[in-house]
Amino acid sequence: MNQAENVLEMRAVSKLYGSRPVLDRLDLAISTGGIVGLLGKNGAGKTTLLRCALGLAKPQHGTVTILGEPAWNLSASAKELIGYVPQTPQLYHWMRVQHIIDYTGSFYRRWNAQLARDLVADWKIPPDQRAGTLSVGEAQKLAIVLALAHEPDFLLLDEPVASLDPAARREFLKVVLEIAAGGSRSVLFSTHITSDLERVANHVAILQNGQISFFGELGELKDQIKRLRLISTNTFPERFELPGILRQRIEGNQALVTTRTITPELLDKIETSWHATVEIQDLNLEEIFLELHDDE
Amino acid sequence: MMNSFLHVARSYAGRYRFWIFPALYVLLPLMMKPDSFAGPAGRAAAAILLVYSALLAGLLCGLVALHLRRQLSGPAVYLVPRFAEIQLTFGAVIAILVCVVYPASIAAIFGLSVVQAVGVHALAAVLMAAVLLWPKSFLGLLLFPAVLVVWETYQLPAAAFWTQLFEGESGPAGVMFVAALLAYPLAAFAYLRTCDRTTEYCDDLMVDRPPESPSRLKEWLLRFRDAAIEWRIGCRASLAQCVRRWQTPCLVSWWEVGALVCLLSALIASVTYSAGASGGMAIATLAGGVALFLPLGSWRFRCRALSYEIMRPVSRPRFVRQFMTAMLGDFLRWTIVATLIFGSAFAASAWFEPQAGIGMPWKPLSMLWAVAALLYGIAALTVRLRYWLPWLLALFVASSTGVGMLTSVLQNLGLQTRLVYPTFVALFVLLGAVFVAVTYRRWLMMEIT
Repeated sequence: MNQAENVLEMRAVSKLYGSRPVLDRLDLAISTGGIVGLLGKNGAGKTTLLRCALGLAKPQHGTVTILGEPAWNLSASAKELIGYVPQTPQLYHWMRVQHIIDYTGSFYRRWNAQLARDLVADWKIPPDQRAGTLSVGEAQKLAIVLALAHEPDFLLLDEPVASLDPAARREFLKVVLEIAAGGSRSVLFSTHITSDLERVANHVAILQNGQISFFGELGELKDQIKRLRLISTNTFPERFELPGILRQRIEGNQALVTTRTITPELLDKIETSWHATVEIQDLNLEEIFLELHDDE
Repeated sequence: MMNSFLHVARSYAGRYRFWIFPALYVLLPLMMKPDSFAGPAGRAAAAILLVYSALLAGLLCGLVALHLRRQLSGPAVYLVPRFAEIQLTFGAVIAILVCVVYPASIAAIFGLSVVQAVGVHALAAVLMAAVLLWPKSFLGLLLFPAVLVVWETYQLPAAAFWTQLFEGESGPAGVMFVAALLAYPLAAFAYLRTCDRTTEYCDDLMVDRPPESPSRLKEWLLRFRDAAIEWRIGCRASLAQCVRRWQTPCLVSWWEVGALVCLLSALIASVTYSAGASGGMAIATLAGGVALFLPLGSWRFRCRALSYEIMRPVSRPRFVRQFMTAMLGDFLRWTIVATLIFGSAFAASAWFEPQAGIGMPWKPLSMLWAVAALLYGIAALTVRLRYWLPWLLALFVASSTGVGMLTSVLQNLGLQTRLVYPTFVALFVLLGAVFVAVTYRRWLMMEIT
């Protein structure tokens, strides 16, 4: 991937909190037009990754460039092209919704006031209400409006839909898809809701042990990781020693094996070695996530 | 049971405020000499000690009440057996120690009236009950010194209660004590029965959430803030306008500030007219001192939203400069308020007591601005810290003491007497500037959480 095409490049990034490494020589490159879903368990470092990407946190090692600039020293023009929704939006609760929108808009040259108005109306956020009296979901929606209304080229969202109801979530995902529809804008968002990610993301990054254990297209991930259901006339050994096995459950002559490298040779080997019939099962993203994190 | 009390004690021990303020409270009387309360002058010294001690006791009890509210607002109150009972018992024990046992012991040691001491400190217990019910009543703490002012300056029937109390008569002291005894359990009961408790309750006094439906008066007042917000949002081009824009989410408007100054000036004028210059000056000192600390609340909250603010399309160095300048602007505004309050006190004194020959108050005003400069520097340095308030107070006390010691060392080394005061002021300003420079460097490298 060419660096010029990448909106985000993280190379050998390490970030420690005290002596605990959260990111460990992590590499990640996101190209223009990508909608990347960032998956990881609680405490895996998703928020830290996003904060390093935005220059809010400084890694101890490695380089981070966003829109071609070092993340730590972003210029005003680069920031103009970035939208960010933090995990817990801190709004000024004594200010009215409309005032917060106007205040935020006053910093941006290409603030789309009409888009902000439309989103506020669509999501039924009361513009005259003070932010402190908004529900958690409404505050989250307002934070998303503030991140979207200047039509950023690169949108980073830290679990943006966690507090939204299904209807608002769907509306939000629609907006994200619209943003990326032209192919010139990019989105990186972390989430626990894998069904949302499946709906909009064209790429998935899985953060595990401080590193990106998988980055690629969603279909590619699903093609890679399969579950094999094995039934044999003989009793299986206690463990299979095969390459790429993520998880295995063996009971007598039946076994469930999840693997990330399924090849015709592997299937042949299983069938001939243990006289087993092999059924290949597809997994959805949530199942893949669980399989990947089963040993932790 | 004992184990539960240990757990409750740990919830207090983990907060710096419950180390610093009790230490100050305990140390304050111990710094006095026993013979300083003898004679007529000693009576005034004893009264001042009692009021300051009650002030610290009130501060401590108010913080305990806020802590109690925080504890009692969580789900543990429903889930853990006898949770509320243990918390409230612990709070009551603290109240008894702070409001009865310690002041009575100190009074006995210094040969003061035990009745008087306990009676005055009962105010702290009443405040604790009030804060438990309504956190904003913490501001009632400011009434404590006002009690002293009223006691010193008026002999009205309404003030007779306080006069008798300060003279050690048992009647008013008994009333205060009974009020304190009743107030705490009643407040605790009312709080537990009536309050809508949520786990999101915040004990940050400076900035609390607006209620679901604010009163008409409050909504009317908030409109001034809305107007100020709209005016600041419109600012875009010059540095001054950029700074003004960064001040948009600040908590108060010029209208409110102006109204406050007018009210205080009228109060100072009336007190000076009826009770002399000392009464007006006492109110000015109190209100001016408080005004210097008022900007802290909104900037503390602003710092929580820095991850938003720093992502505005402004480079990091420029953001830090504009943000700190906007903060300076807010401090300047409140220092001007304090100056106006002092100015009105001096003007009232010169008008009503021309024979006193009060000249231009350059010294106190220069000191006021020097303190403001130091406070701004310390506030900038500490406002992002987790335990910002204890750090701020500690640094302020340490800096003032350090400057005082340095000045006296310079005096011993031959500094001319007429230069002592300017040196003192200059050192305050210099120290404030050093803190600002350190903060600027730190903020350029800060990680935003």
